[in-house]
Amino acid sequence: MSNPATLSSMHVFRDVPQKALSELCILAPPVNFPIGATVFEQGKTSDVALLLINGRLDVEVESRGQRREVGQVHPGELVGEQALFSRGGERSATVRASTASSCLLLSPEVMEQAQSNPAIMAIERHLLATLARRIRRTNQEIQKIWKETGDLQPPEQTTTLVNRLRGLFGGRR
Amino acid sequence: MTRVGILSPDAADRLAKRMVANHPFPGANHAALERLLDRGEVRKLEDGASLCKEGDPGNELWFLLRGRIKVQRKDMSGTVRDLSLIQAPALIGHMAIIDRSPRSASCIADGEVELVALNTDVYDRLMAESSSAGSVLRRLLLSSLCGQLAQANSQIRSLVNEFTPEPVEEQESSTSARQRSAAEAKIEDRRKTEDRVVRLTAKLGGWSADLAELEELEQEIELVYDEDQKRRKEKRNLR
Repeated sequence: MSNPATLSSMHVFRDVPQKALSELCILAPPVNFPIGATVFEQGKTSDVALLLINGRLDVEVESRGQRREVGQVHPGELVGEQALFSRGGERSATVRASTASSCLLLSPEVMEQAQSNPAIMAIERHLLATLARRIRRTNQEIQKIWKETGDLQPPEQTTTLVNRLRGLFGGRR
Repeated sequence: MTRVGILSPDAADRLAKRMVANHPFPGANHAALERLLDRGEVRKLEDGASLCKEGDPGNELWFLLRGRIKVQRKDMSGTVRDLSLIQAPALIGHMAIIDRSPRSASCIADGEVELVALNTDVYDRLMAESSSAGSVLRRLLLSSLCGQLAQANSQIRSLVNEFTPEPVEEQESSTSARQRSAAEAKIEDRRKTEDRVVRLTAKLGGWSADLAELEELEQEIELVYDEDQKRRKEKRNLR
């Protein structure tokens, strides 16, 4: 199902020549996950990221025995990039296929071998823009919460701030 | 601000090795990072000189080679607060050049500073290049952003999970003393939370460096810098 032609229809690869996509598919053949399959498991170590080509993935976080869905991954989106570009370590969430899904697995080896492949360059530029946007949004949200709680009395202010951060990012109740 | 020119090979080598050690991205290699640093311009700042002001257009990113940069920003009440003190070696000012947003903080040299500046034109060319310098810049930035996000998320979790106001113990003291103590505790709690939120926003904004082994790193950099200056002086004397 996943071939260079499928990849070329994705927004992230819109300017990438077919030849570069063919080379990437040879180096990192797309992997299929059946519905319900676990893609990443929270707490397990891993150093690969994943680009979703088809299907949909659910992201959930377990905290003190309770599972909480924190988001979904749609085609064209990356997941697990922190393990690839930062110090590896443990997965912070579990990712499961909520429909039959097909992904490109980006391992450190693939990234090293395909360093000058235009498809990899396109993924890197796309991810830079996505991360910068996510960081700005998070920062603006925190500052907005902080501003809105600034006029409250100290105990109320702190409780409101912490509760709203908890609402944003989860955490112990 | 003084323009020094290009970076000496020794200084570039040392900075590149340290940056690569701090950012272990796939394909990280210090030779490629040295080639990237060669594309920038070396500058010196005197103590107290301004590198950028909050609200300025983000038209450069910097590799801090030597010295410290004080980062400040106005808080909600308009008071200027110190966000962090970044020590070399570090990558700073990258958020504004990635998304072309205005500077979110002001930067001032704390002591003498030497840095390598990459401007927007060079940055744009490198972003589109398949060269090793282009690749190392994209991956270094990705590594830095992933680190910012991961550490900020961990700070948020810690703030949410660990924050429990200290209970004020009941003591056999007068009512006014108890009330005073409770009020002081509340003010202290508020101050602590404020500091934690400021550190968190600094981390997200890319205005905070990894503090691991900084003293040792700074000493090493000072040593290389001194040797480099000595060599430059000897060269000048020979001429």
